[in-house]
Amino acid sequence: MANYSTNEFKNGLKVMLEGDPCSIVVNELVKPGKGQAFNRVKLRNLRTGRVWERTFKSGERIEAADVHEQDMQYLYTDGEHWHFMDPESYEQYAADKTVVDDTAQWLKDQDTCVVTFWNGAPLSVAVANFVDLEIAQTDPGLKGDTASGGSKPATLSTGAVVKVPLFLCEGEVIRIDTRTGEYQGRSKGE
Amino acid sequence: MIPVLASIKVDPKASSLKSNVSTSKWGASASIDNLKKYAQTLQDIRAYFQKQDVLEVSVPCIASSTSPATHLDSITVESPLFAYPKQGLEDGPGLSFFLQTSPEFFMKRLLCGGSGPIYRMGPSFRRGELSNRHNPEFTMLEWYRPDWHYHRLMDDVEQLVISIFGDLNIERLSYQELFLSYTKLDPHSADTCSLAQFAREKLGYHPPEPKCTSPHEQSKDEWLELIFSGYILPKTSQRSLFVFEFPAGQAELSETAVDKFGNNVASRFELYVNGIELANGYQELTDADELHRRFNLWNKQRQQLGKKAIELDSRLMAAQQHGLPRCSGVALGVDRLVMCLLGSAHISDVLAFPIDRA
Repeated sequence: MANYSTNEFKNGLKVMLEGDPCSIVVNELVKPGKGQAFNRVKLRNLRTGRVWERTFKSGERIEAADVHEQDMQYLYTDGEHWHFMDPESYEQYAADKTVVDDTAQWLKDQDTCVVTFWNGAPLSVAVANFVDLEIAQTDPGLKGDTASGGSKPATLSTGAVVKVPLFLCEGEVIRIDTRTGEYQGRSKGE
Repeated sequence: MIPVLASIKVDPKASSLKSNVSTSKWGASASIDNLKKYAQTLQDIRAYFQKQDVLEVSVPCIASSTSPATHLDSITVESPLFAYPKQGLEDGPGLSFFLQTSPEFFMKRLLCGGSGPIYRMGPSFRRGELSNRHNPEFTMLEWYRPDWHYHRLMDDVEQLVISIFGDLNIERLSYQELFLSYTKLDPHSADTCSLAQFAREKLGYHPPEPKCTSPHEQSKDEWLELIFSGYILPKTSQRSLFVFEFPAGQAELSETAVDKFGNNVASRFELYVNGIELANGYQELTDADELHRRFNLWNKQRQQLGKKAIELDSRLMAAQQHGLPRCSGVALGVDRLVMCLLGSAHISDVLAFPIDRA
């Protein structure tokens, strides 16, 4: 397996650390005038999303992680697995709950998302920052109440539950920020 | 690393924030305002030494030998002596020259010859040193005070810095005091294992599993350095500190002594402003035999690290045999001094052309 020296560290480099694939987020060389050099590194664990802070003696080598990202089309879920397709080769991949995690609630059939592969198997799934989803269920809208600022829960077509303003009705398509799960407005439509 | 964009604008608010697209390929990294501040600093430094009657000397950047310091790497250059270097001769003895990591050896030869107090301000070069605070070519100010004790040299450094900064309150702490206050570990009595454990816990030192006895693990002084630079210094980002009496194992080219608690310490000090290492000073080692012994030790350590040993500088050794007068000396990073003055976080804010534009 390929490995990298600390000299080759840079943002975005994918390495193996303590058994998990990680992506380097920050790499800082510390070199006292007379002392040995070392690297202070922040790495995002690609499996858990956690950021680790580590210190490496300069010149140390660590293993490269066989990680790549690919645009994939989301097909469907059978409840246990989520199925994705490479739009070019039509090859299909199944990912379980640990891979899709909370992202599952934003996955809409046919949407394109980015799947991160580790050793050829899906590791994580990322959707666009903003997705447009239909309201499947919510209490009846209060027509005209656009100013009170109140909100109510709404269940979306994907099963996600978000807070929306009181005036929205079932069947409307709204825009959600997937990073925060917050309502952004009515969909502008395509 | 944070990219710093070009800007040649006189408006200080615009400097280093917005790129002037038309100059981004060839323009300076530092703003003109910062370059003016830099130039003013050089003038202030020269004015200070002129008033003090310290002689400015000019010494070579390219030399046939270099420092064997364990953790310094010189940039080698082809011999300037041959007009047409022949194939296959590039590595032969005398065919590689070195860009100097500091002017120290030349200045010591001058001191041995009876120069009296001298300073040199000019470029120094260190291979592989590139970060927010490092550029492989940088400006170093180095000076020597014959007959002075290094505590008096600290006063000198303080006066120089104040002449540039205006007011600055610099605390003085021994290495032991500073180390204890941030880690509760005594750098002199702590064992290697507890230092290793501290580094793993607080710095996420990799590899994580404790292997205190492994030959690949570091020496005690290396653990101390790691904790000092990686853990303690970042916590001093609001302080200006002279730190003195380093552990004897980090004496480099300073004399060693015994402190009031009986610990072996180096007569060495460093100046840190806002957590940035600005200057390193010594009560200079005068014993030529001890110098020889340390150089050989460093070369052994270099080889253990897979580096080439450096053939000792015979002219320096001869000069030291003749006798280095009792003196103290200090080197100060001028680029970093200007960074501190401007409150800048990146060395490319003060350099016209850092290495990625050079």
